Formats: sequence, C-alpha cells, structure tokens
Amino acid sequence: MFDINRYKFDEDHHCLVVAGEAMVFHCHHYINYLQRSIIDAEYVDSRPFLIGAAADAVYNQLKELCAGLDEDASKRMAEQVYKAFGYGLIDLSSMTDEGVTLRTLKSFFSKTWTMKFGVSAKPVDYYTSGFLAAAFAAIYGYPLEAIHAEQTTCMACGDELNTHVIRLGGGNFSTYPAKNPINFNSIPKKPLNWAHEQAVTGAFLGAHALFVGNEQGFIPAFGVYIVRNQSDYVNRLQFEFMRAMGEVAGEYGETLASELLMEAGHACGFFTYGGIMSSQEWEGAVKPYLKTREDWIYGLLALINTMGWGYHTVVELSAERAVFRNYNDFEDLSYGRMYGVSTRPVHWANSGGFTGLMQLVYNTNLVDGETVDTEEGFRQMRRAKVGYKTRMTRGISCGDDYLEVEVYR
Amino acid sequence: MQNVKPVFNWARAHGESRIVDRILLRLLPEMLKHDRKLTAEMVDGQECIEVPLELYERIKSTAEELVGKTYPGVGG
Repeated sequence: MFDINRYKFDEDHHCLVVAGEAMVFHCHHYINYLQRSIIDAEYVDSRPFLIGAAADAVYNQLKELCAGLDEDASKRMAEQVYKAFGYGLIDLSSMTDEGVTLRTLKSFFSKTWTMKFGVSAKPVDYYTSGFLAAAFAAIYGYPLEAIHAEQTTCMACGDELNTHVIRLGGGNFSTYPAKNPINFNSIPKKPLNWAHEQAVTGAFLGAHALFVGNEQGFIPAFGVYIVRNQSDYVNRLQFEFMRAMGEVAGEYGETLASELLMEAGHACGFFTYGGIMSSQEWEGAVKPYLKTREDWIYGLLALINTMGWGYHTVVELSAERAVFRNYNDFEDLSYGRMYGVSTRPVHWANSGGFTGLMQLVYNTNLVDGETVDTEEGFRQMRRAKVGYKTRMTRGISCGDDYLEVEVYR
Repeated sequence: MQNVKPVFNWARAHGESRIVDRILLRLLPEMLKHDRKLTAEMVDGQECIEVPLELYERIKSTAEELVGKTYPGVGG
C-alpha cells in the first residue's frame, strides 16, 4: 500500500516530499543526542513538544495518505508508513474510536537510545506517542487537541516492551498552527566545481528509496541506524528547544543550547559520513575518483546531494578553513514553513555535519582506510586533536539566498 | 569560593565530547542563581574559575554523574 517509490525525488531542489511533508534521513547518533540534550534541561517542560512535534507532522501526512481509505485500510497505511520510515513496528488492529493501548517490541528510539547511552530513567519514545496520537486523530476524525498520549513502559528503561496509551480527553501535548507552503529557493546554485560530481551524484540518484524498514522496521545502514524523519518534526524539536532555553535564560540559554545542537550534527556527520566513506558502495562508485583529501569532501557532498538534505557545495576548501553552502537546506526550509523569518541562522545540524566531515577527513586517517567508528574512538579522537570551530554566517530563514557555514581551525 | 576549573578539566579528560557544555546546560538554573553565565569557551580560556562552594559541589556532582566516575580531586 505505502511505497516510497511513488514519491519522486525533486532533483531541482534536492528534496523528497511525501504527502506534503519534506522527509530527511537522520542517524541514531543525531536524533538521540538531540533528544537527550533536550531532556537534560530538566527545568524545561519539553514533553509536550517532544510529542507534539511528531504528532503535528505525522497528522498532516497521514490525513493526506489516508484520504479516501476506510478504517482498516487507514490503519494498515499508518503501520506501513511507520515501518517504512524505520521507526519499528506497530499493530493498530486494536485501535478503536476510543483509543488504543499499543504494545511493541520494535522501537527505533528505545533500541538505539540503549545502544548509545545505556538504560534511561524515563521512557524515550516520544515520537511513537506522537505518531499514534496523529494516527488516531487522522483515522477517526478527531482534532489533535482532544487527544491524550502517554508512554507507560519503555525497553530503554529495562521494561520488556514499550506501551503507549492513546485516548480521548485532556490533550497533553503541544499543537501548532497550520504551516506555510514549502518555499524553495530557485536562485542559481554554485556548483561543486569538481570534475566527477555528476558521475557520483548520478550513481546514487534514487538510492534513497533503498532505505526502507526491514522486517523489524529498522534501517541499518553504514554502521548506524537511520530513520526517515518528517523534517518538520525533527527541526521543530530544535526550534522549540531553542525557544524554551531563550525563555529561561535569554542569550545565555540559547548559547548553551546551540553548542549541543551543533554537537548532535557533528556526531551525525562523523559517524554517518564516516560509515558512508567506509562502505562498499563508496569503494566502488566514489573512491576511484579520489586523489586528495579534498576529493573526499567533494565526493561526499556529491553523494549526499541525492539524499534529500538540499544541495551542498563548498566554495573554499583547505585543511585550515572551509566555507560550505547548502541551497534549500532542510532546517531553513522547515523554519520558513513553521515560523517564518528568523533573526539568526538556525541550521545547527547542517553546520555540525560539515564540521564532523572536516574532522573526519583532516583529523583522522579515514582516507588511508583507518576507521573510527566507536563512541570511545570518537571521544578519544576529539580529545587528541585540535578541533574545528564553526561559524554560521548565512541562513535562508534570515533572508539570505543560501545557508553558509565557515569551518576553521 | 573554590576553583572549579580542575573539575571541568577532569570531566573533559574522562567524559564524552562537549561534556562541559552538558554540565553547564544541566546546571543553568544554579548558574543563574549564583549570577554566573559560564560557557565552555570561557571555561577553556580561564586558568582559574572561582565559584561559591555550593555551586562547586553541584558542578562536581553533576560532572561525576555524567562521567560515571568519582572525581579524585586535584592531583588525583
């Protein structure tokens, strides 16, 4: 019923939209680090937006996907979307117009939180609570404001399975106003200026559709687990966290938050890009073109331009300093859809990702075949080497034509 | 007052990357209570960071919690 291949990759804007929602991949390192940073701020009441961000994006999407389907077909659609995107497995057969107590043994969040951080004191699968609330609302025609969603057991806490209770009455998560349409930027892009860009991009175009959930509903790839996120879900987490930190402590709160948001992107860049650059696919389709360390960066950018994160390019590049751009980056587009104009750059994940890439290529021996793919290896490498600094200089949400980031020693 | 810089140094040597940012984020209300707005950059740039004993103890205990080890003290 749900088939990702029905949705055409937008080659002009380097984006994939499924039923009105832009979709982006994130790895388990990124999303768990982001979520833990939010939860770490115990003085922020984050649970409402951790669930609400998911519920809002999924509701918009499922309303469109389930239009014209009967109750049972709508349930199957929601189950298949959840599985295809890599969140695990859910069985909605017991859902009625009064709600559902849903139990599952397959949860991306619970599984990968434990892999990365060990046991959690509190349930961690806020996304699935939001997803189920959205499915319940979309299938039975309720407004999100009327729904109560709660996770009562979690495998990340040591429980045997995850339990989510979804029912009518006393909405207990954040809801949001209607979003703006996607506003793509159509100015001419500055190309990578690398002779092999088209060859590499062409080799991977369409490959994103291979990343769908397996029989357990997970997407293991490049040494990490990835999920295909509704872009507005994951970016709203960042924006709402930043807003809350600003409310608590003004610029100081925002400074502390932004460092950790960027670190989430850094970990993603380091582990996921490292996994890609150690993969058989890279060995076969990209490595023959690589002569210098700079070529590794050009090659990686040419490849990831097929994944729906926008068009990445680099306008200055050396071991000491690089200036990266992204035209139609997922964070700025999200901000525009949900919040409008920003007074400062909001692309922490992109910026951290670029920094992680520089770290990988210039501060490790990855190009010589030596991988650093463990948490401890990551920590030791970060301690042992002088790290790169990151400066977010331009943002589409601020009115600029593109995102620009300076990464320097 | 007590110099908390050695605690941050120890946390950085034994904890995850950005451990200092994480400690500071956790303790934001305490920082504000003591009228301190420490950032990781400031921690890096200062040889000595004198803070009230109550705040020192909170930073130490948070660092120990996040690193998962007991702080051995200066010279430990």
